[in-house]
Amino acid sequence: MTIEQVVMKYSDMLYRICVVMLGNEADAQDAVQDTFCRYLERNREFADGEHEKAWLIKVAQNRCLDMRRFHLRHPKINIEEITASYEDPEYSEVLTELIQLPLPVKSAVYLYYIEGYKTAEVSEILGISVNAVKKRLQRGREMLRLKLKEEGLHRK
Amino acid sequence: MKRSGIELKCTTVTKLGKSNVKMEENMKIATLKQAVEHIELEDNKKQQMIRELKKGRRTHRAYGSTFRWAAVFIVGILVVGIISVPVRALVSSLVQERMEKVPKEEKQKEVELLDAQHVDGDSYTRPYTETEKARMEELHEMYQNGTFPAGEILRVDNEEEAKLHEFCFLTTTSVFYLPANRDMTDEEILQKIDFEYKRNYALQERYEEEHTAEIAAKEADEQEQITQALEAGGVTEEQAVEIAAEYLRKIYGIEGSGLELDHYYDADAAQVLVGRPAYSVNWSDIMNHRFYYFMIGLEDGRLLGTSYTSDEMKEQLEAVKPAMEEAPDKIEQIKEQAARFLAENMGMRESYDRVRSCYRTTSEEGVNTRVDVLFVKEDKEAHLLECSWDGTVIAYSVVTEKDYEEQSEIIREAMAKRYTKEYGREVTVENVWD
Repeated sequence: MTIEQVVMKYSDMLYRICVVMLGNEADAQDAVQDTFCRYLERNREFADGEHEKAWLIKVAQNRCLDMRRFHLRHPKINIEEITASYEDPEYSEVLTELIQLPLPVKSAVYLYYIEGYKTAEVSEILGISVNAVKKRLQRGREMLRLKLKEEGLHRK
Repeated sequence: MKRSGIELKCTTVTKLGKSNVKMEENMKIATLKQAVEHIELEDNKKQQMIRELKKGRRTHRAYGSTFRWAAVFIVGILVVGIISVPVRALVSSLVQERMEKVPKEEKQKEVELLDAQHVDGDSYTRPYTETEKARMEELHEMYQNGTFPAGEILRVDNEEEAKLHEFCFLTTTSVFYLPANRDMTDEEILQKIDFEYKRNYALQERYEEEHTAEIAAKEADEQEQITQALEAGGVTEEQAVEIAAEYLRKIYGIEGSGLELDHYYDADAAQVLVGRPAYSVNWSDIMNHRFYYFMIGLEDGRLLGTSYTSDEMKEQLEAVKPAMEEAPDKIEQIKEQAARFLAENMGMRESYDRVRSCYRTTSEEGVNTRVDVLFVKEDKEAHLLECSWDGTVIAYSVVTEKDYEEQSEIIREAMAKRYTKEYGREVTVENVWD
């Protein structure tokens, strides 16, 4: 595939991940671009499309971690900017909750629930054990459930 | 390879009972998935990305209203540089010695604490007083020079206990409890500075530990680039520091002595500086919050960029900003001052195809605080001097005319979008060329 095809195929997916990881659109854009730079620099062969996709996610994930480390003292979270275009407030709420999860937890939650990877695949991408993935998912579920409670238990 | 559908496995019984909770959570995850799918990268940004990738460069993007070429330059140093610079380069030797004495277990606890905190940064029970801010600057300098606190900040892990102390750190939420009815003492300020250094050092050290192979490979790759460049007549890191020191004198009129110096080969500089690899040489006047950045070309020792930042810069720039109608009359004089600066301070006396200037105006805020002057050479490469409206040169970089034009337009669009959002009405932003 040409770089043009790669960008068109994966940029939205990577951008979503980076926005959720970083909570900031401009930083997310940088992280995506860095990921593609890395892709070009490595010029490697992939077994198949899924392999390629997982590799890109892994690189983007690492880039987000680097950027978060750097921005730890000066976080540039801008959830309002991200959710401003949503007409449905429910979308804004759930996305805000996801972005506010701790980074390690939301990485696992995102890949498992949004991207649909299995725990073993999440483990491979994040470079952690399957048990660690399961713990993070459990923690994510608990935290999201707490949020549900805080919101008056689903506004019944 | 992928799971189909969305299933959330519940392990905890709630008041509603398992099935209700599971249903609610499934709905929530489904909503979340739909919400995330709304996030898309705009087509023009994809196209811009493709263009830059084809050219082998990264897109510079706007960080906010202060984004300019100099900002790109600084951000490049910070984002690319600091992350890849060994932790030793970030602190003075005395601080480094102190950090190295911190037991490994203690550093480990620091990063574990950071990982466990569900907050994005520190917060405070009150803002610093003016006296504290001034004292903090002085003590920061003294800390770099070996004045360390006698004790450590008290750490507590619950809010009730934190409220019992005048000065402490609440670990669970990363909140600094500052004295409510008095200024912080010197010892307390030093404890806080020490705490932050230790935490940042631990964090950086963990990063290096986790990326040992990657860092080693990168260093080997960089060393190879340097070796090849030196064989072809390039400059060493030490020579780059000497060159930068000379420009520090010529451009800013100061000596580097007494300032904190750090320097390193920045392999990524090529991605922000007209495709040329460079050394980054920086002097920090920590006490006065002044920072001088230089990029010196690896291949020929050429100055590729420099900029200066300080706390008071924004106020200084605002103070000399003209009214919209007065701005055009000032351009010629600023161009002349920039040309003189280029020749006399920087020793660059070349022939130019044309000298252009560009400043930005907004319908809400009038003229921007800076004017860019572009000395375009025959090959379309250009010296870019960023000036204040009184003609003071703030930053310099080597650019191509085309890149500059493209970037100016991107920034204009980004600013218009942001201002329109901020003001809640259509705000127009224009680039005024001369």
